[in-house]
Amino acid sequence: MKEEYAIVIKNLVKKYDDLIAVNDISFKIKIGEIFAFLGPNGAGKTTTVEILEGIRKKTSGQAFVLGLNIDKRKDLEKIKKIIGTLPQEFNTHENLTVKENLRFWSRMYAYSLPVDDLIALVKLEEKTKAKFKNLSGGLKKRLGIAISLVNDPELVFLDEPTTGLDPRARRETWEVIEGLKSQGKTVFLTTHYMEEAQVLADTVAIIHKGKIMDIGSPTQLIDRHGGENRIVVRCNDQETRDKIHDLLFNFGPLENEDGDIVISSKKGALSKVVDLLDENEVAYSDIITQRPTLEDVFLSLTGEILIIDEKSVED
Amino acid sequence: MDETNDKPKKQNAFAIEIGLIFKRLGAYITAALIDFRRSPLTIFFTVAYPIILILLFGAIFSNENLSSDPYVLYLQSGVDEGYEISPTQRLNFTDDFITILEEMERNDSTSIFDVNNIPLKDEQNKPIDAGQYLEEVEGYIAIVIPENFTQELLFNSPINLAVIMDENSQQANIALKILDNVIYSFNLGVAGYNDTQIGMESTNIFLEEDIEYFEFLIPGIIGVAIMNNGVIGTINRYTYFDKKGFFRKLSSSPMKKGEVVLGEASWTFLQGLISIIAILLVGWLVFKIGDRDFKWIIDVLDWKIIPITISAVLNFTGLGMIGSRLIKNPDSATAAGNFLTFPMMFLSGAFFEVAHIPVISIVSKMLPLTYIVDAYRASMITINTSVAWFNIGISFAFGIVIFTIGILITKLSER
Amino acid sequence: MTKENIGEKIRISARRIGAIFSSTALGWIRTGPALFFTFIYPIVMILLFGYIFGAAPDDSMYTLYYLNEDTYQVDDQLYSNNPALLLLQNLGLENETLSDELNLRLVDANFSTAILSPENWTKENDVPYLLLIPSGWSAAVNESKTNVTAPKANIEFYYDPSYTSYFEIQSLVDNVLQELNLNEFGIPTLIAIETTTTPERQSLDYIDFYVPGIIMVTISTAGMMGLVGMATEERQTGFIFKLAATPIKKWEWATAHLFWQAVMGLMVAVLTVLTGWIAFDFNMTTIHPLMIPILIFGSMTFGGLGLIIARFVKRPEAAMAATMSFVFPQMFLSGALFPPETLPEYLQIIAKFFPLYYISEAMRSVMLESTFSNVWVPLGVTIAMGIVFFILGSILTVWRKE
Repeated sequence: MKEEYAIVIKNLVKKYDDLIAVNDISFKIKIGEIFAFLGPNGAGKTTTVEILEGIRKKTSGQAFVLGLNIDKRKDLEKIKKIIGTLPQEFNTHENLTVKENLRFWSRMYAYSLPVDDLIALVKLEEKTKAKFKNLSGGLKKRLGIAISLVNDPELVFLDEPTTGLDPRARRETWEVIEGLKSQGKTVFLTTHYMEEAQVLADTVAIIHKGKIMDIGSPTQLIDRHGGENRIVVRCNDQETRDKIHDLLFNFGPLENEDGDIVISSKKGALSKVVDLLDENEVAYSDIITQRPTLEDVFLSLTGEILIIDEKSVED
Repeated sequence: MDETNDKPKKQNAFAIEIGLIFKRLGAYITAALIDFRRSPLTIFFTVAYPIILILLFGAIFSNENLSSDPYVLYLQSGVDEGYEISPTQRLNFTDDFITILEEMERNDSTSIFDVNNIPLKDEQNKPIDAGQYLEEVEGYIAIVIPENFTQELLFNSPINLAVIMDENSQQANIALKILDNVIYSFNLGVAGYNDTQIGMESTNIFLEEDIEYFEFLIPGIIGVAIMNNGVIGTINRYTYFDKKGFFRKLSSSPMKKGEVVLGEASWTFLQGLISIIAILLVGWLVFKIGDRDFKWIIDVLDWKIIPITISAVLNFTGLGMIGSRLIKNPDSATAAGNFLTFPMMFLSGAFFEVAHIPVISIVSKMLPLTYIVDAYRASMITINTSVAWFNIGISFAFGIVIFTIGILITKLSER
Repeated sequence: MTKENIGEKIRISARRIGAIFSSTALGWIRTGPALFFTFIYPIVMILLFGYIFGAAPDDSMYTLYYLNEDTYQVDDQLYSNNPALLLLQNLGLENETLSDELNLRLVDANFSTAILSPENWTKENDVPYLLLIPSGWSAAVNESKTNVTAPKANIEFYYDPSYTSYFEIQSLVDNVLQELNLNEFGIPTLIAIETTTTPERQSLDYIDFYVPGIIMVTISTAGMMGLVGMATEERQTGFIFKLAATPIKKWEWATAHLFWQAVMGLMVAVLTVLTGWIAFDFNMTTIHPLMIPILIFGSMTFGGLGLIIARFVKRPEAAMAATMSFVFPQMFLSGALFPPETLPEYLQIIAKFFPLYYISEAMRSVMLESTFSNVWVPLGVTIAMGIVFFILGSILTVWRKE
């Protein structure tokens, strides 16, 4: 029988002395999709991933990976053969080169992909002879992803694959992850970047303080919790801003952090606003409509803003 | 007006500057102290390691003459018919000799010899060779008394007693000396002399108090503890600070290199005092309280401990600074530090005297720890002021040179 | 399960063990300090302990200060000899051959007891021991030859008890005095001692017996520290957990590391033996093939112990401290550096709790034919310990986070 779900979790709980890291969560991940676990640091993402990888004990609940029960020793052994992992803080032999490290990890498995193909996949051809300790953060992560693929796994766990990377490196990593999906692999991704989840994921689960707040495709989540589309009027000076405020008073205008005026976009509102501003010859610089993002979903679900602060992430 | 104001102003500024230096130093040491409480390795080297050393070496060597255990003597004696000098009296020198050996005691009434008999023949009735027997039982000394020893001695002297020994065994050598004495007295007795005319009077030059081995050991352990803290601690901290960029950060603050080094050195000094207190307390509890000698811990405290500790700190933080320039990698810092300190511990006479050992005696003269330990010993235990100052002088000379080199090659930032 | 399956399993296991082993080796070669210490550490250890404990009593040279206040002149006395001078000559004064034989060098203290007491002179000059021949001593000795009631003629020996060697010097002087006694008073020597060295040990020195012990001390220290460091570091960097998510088994990982320890152990052994041979003329004929299994099982024992420590003490620096508190007492109590019989009885009992005790027992027993029959018990214990600690070490290693 072919499994329909790559991962099935039922009532999973993980307690530390007086802290509940994972609080009774249940969900399913379909084979072949990219699943993103979205939440701030300390929400319980890594804990869940490590339980699924078989390297952390759970307190209670059940979990199946590719139809195999993680509680059974025999099953766990099988799981380890068909999954790939990228730990949050990935480290490997410092004094070994990229190629030597890949070869090392490939020998852990009975069957493995050719090392050169993996190097090509993550575009590390020019760095094959560089020692791990001399690689930049982005290259280390890329090597980590390559290593997570050495056994040609059916399911790949990527724990914060782009944390600490610059925007370009992040985009390159996204391409690699999308490539995995096209090969038919299931990807379990954890991230605290909204954009990453939105771009990559087929299904997103939002986790906060050990609880899953909601789960669904990005569009579904936005529809459910993101609220309405918004109209943003951009302007450059305070005088214009005040003028717009007065004109759009009936729409309940708000001001965002960039000094733009934001109103919610009810049906037909856009043409009215444009007409109104044009009639009064207001010199706004731009007018756009915005769809709500996962950011808004997160805000409405948790009442908190997901802080994307590289500094605090690094620490 | 201006001129009169100028001077106090300058003085004021100077006072403020000094105040700031102390403030920075204070902050540095406080941080180190907090770090200390949370770092098991430093606590280990400051407190636990010296205690292990005292207990270990105290136990191994504590009794005089290395050990109060009897020397294991293997003895093979042939049949001795004895010699009848009258119907009621029969001489048997073999029995007499064995009795003397068995009954010999030390001052504390422990036996000197543990006499074990080597049978003359084995189960197959073959004669047993004492030498081979000794090797098989892994003994170190055996003596063979010939057949009919009594009559041989009376009518056929001189007689040779064969002693078979393992030359490399220290115990065998001491046991041989004691045997020598026994045989000498036995000789006198048989020859009819009760006493001899020439003798020797031994005088302990510290008559008022007999120095126990552990007292010899304590200054050595103090020296070793400060060395370990200084060298290993400094290498660890400097390489770690360097790698983590803490030094670069400091170098962009008003703190100067001299102050950083002074902060580190004051911290090592403080740790040294903690070690000294811990060591003295343990030594006192383990070795003196039992004898109701409560005053001991006060007696050993001498103000010269302070200058000696300062000189030790100069030497060892200096060495640590040099080491941290050579090593750079905090991961191998402890190993590298150990590698430096481990041989010094043994070469400097901290645990046992090395003055008579070839090569080592020369090497020991080149190591600062030797002088530091001697200075502690002369100030705390043997109370020998001139020796103490002589060694303090040499320690400072070493210390100033090493510390200066250390400062010169230390770099807070790559500039 | 089919045969092919088992063969395949073994092949895959071997591949994994080989991967861990070769990556450790490569990493080792590429780390400068590690390489340096591996080579230099055994050399320093053998030189250090070789000189300290290997300085057999006959290599030592003690300095004895003497003060001869005796002004006896043969010319104006009845007797034709000068006992004071005789005594000093018998102690090796102006006689280098004798001086070397006694390991004693006489130095004239050259002060006057009228000005300074011998005790104070000894203290102030930091001198271990002083032999004082009081004025009139020779005359007293000679007088007692004719006058039975004459008082005993004594020389004086002052010593600083903080020098542990005072006892040996005292008995040496005592022996020379006794000889003088016999000679001067014409007492017949009825009994003499004739010493021989145990037959097989004749050509062997301390160093020959303790090179194996020093090898094991080096291996146990370096091996345990190395493995504890490695295990705690792999846990800190998370490397071990990444490994845990692959199909590798704990025992495969442990085997690879213990195998590596054994290779390092052999390397240490070769270096130590070579240094011992160059510096101390170590007798190579004592090397026995059985030493190799002892070395391997010994390395396994300490490797396993290292893994056990790393299991319970998680922070690398704390683990290092724990290792040192074990390794250091073991070094001195186990009989690897000096015979355990030298220790007080209760320490001899403690000594038997240290694995090194059995390993060095086994090593020493195989060296001589006469003691060879004693090897089986310690060898058995060594092999058993190697296996037990290896299994315990790999079982206790935890790859799951709590």
